Amino acid sequence: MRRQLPGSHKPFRLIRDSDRELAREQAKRRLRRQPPQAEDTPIDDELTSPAGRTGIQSIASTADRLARTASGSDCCRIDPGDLSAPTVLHQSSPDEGSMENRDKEASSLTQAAQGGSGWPFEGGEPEATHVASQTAPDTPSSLIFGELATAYVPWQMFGQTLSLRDALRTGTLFPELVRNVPLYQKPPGT
Amino acid sequence: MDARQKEMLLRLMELQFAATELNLYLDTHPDDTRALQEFRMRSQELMSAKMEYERIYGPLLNFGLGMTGRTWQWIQDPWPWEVNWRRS
Amino acid sequence: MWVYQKMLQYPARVRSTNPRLAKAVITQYGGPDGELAASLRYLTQRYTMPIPEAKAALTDIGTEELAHMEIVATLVYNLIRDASIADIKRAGLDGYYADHDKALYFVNAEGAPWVASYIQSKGDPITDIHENMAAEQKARSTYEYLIQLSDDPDVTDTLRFLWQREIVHFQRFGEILNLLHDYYGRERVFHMKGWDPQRIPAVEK
Repeated sequence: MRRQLPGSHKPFRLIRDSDRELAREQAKRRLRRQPPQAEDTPIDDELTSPAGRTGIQSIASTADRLARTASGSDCCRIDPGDLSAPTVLHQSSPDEGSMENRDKEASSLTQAAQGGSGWPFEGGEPEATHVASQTAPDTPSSLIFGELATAYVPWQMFGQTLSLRDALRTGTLFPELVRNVPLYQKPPGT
Repeated sequence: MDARQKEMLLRLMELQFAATELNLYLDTHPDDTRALQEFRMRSQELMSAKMEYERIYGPLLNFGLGMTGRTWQWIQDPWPWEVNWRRS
Repeated sequence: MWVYQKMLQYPARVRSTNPRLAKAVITQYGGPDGELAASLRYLTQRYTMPIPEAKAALTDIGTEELAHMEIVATLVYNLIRDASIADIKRAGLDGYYADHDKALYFVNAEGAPWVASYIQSKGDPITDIHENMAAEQKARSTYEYLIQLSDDPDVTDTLRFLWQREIVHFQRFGEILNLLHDYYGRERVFHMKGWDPQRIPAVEK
């Protein structure tokens, strides 16, 4: 017995203009939180490195794309191109890139090649060292949707609500969460 | 349980359900002002509907949280699983 | 503490005595994906949640699942209340009757009693929330199967309500998962000493 569900036929907006505006504002604010660039910023500063710039632009464009597509059922669909784009605020370790460190690195690689030290010849114990993440450290999940091996559910935005009676009968107050029981699985004639 | 009591109880269920649903939404969206506003409204309606129901039919909540000053009506039948919702 | 409210969350109705249907529906009382398992799972996981939103959601959804348990119990109770011994035998409920008469007991549809190994409390909040999202999906599937089995439109009506609640809870747990990802950020990513993913040969050009 199929019942017409309240709200299921009505058009509704998942995300309002104000929400889009808010998402854009939050993204901008997050970018502003990055340390300001000084004139004499060292070369290894993440913000002046090409990778850093790309990262910022990419996050901004992801946010913008999200905001733009955030209407109706499009709200969680992001162009795959966006995901493969280097959404990287490459968090270099503070000393990476300095000449002195490069030397150290080189010598350790040589040593390793000579069987002198390093993985796999020694060490290799797990250490709580942070890997440079594929995403900016404080990019909220609402703007990512792109980290591999990670599950995300689109955020619900507050919109219209069903009447009290319809809400109880349906089992939810929110029309965007109303679903129909898949009765196609039911054997015919029952 | 007479028709009027069932009607009032159904109204309570509706309000309770809306409040529950908004409560869950606010658990993950604690800053959502529109949801908060609707939650407060439903919560107030629920409180007054409960008060009215309890004045006539006895307490819905036990452990001293009931809002009725009536005699000991907590033990009164029917209990929730015994209510016959069909019009008889 | 908890307080009981002397009302159901949903006006659960049963049209006629139907021990056969009761035998199936009882799995949502004490089966692997039933409401008891759901409630206890959430209420026991909440202690080790690191963020307030997660503690609140697990407490509230766990509490709502207790209300669902009462709804399922109401269905089963009313489906077998007036059943005769002949009805019970015909429905294959005689085994249940031998142990419990018509009392409510936590069993699955085949009569196996509830066990704690139905649920997990892993201590890793991300893992626990994934478990809960899976649990909501498993319960949703079970309600779909029960709706297929149901030949009582009033029972179907209540099962549909409970089915929809699984979807709402899944959404809430999904949001909690997002919040946990935000909370942990990069700190969750550990690596082996000397291992730098930036320098994996396959990645390098």
